[in-house]
Amino acid sequence: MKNLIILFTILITTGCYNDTNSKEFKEVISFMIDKQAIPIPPPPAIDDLTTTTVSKKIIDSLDKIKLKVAIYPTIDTFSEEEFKKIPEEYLDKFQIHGNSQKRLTLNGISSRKGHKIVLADTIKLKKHMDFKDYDFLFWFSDFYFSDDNKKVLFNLGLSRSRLAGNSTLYILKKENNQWEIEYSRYISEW
Amino acid sequence: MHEGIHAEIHRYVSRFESGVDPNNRERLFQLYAFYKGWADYKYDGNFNWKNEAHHYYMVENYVNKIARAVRELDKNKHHLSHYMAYGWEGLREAGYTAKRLTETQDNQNYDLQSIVESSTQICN
Repeated sequence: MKNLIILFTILITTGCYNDTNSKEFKEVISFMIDKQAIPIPPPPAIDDLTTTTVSKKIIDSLDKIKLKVAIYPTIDTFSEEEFKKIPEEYLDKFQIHGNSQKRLTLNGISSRKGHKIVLADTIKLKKHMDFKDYDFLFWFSDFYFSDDNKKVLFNLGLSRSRLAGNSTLYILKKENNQWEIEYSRYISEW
Repeated sequence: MHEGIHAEIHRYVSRFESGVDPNNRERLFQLYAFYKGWADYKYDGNFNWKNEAHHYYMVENYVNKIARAVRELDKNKHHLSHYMAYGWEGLREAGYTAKRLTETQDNQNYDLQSIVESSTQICN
């Protein structure tokens, strides 16, 4: 009986919905990396003031580039300010609970596009404004899943340096075993 | 300093659009159009395209100016090359993409910056 109580307590406190080792958690991170890790095109030549669009040739060449993507190794629950950004119609759709910081591991996270994924070194991050070791830093909030695990709510900060980035609130839904973006809202930039 | 330049560019664009500033920074508006188009095409609107446009504009116009300003703050103790890493702060990725900064130059800049930092109290 005592063991049952302990097991029950563990299940309640850790939950299976936003466990960072869950299959869904890793799927969503992998999906967002492939969706958002896109090389930035170089600007038009300085003496060419007429070009205002990216050519097909450049787009094709950018699509072939494999990037080095870092994920910030810890995730936090939403702040009070972040909660306020959730559209009202979604508030009762997700299990918004938990108040502890969690650590991520790379196990199960991969890129179909062939991007190299690493965990960010938080000590190195503090030393420089620029990221010398990778092209993008992904900074995920905790994930809040719906009861059936078919939808997920989270924030994603995407940085090219400590002085260039933005964060977006996302709601993803899973259809035909594939994640897709149902809702997104630009939150902030730096 | 970097954030101050962002603010100045935002101010300029806002004043130009409302007809207050007659100076036309054609290159800046070209970069705005270029990176907005890119963001609309690739990111469904969730991308800080203005930041990209600003950064490439800063790479072309402000790296030396920032370096010179920091050198002045440091009472011109060293050659300008020692302060170039400050000019590139926050702009390195854009510098690489625009092919205006190489890894060799970047490493050299860092080495020279460490000489400045070992002899001064200034911070970026």
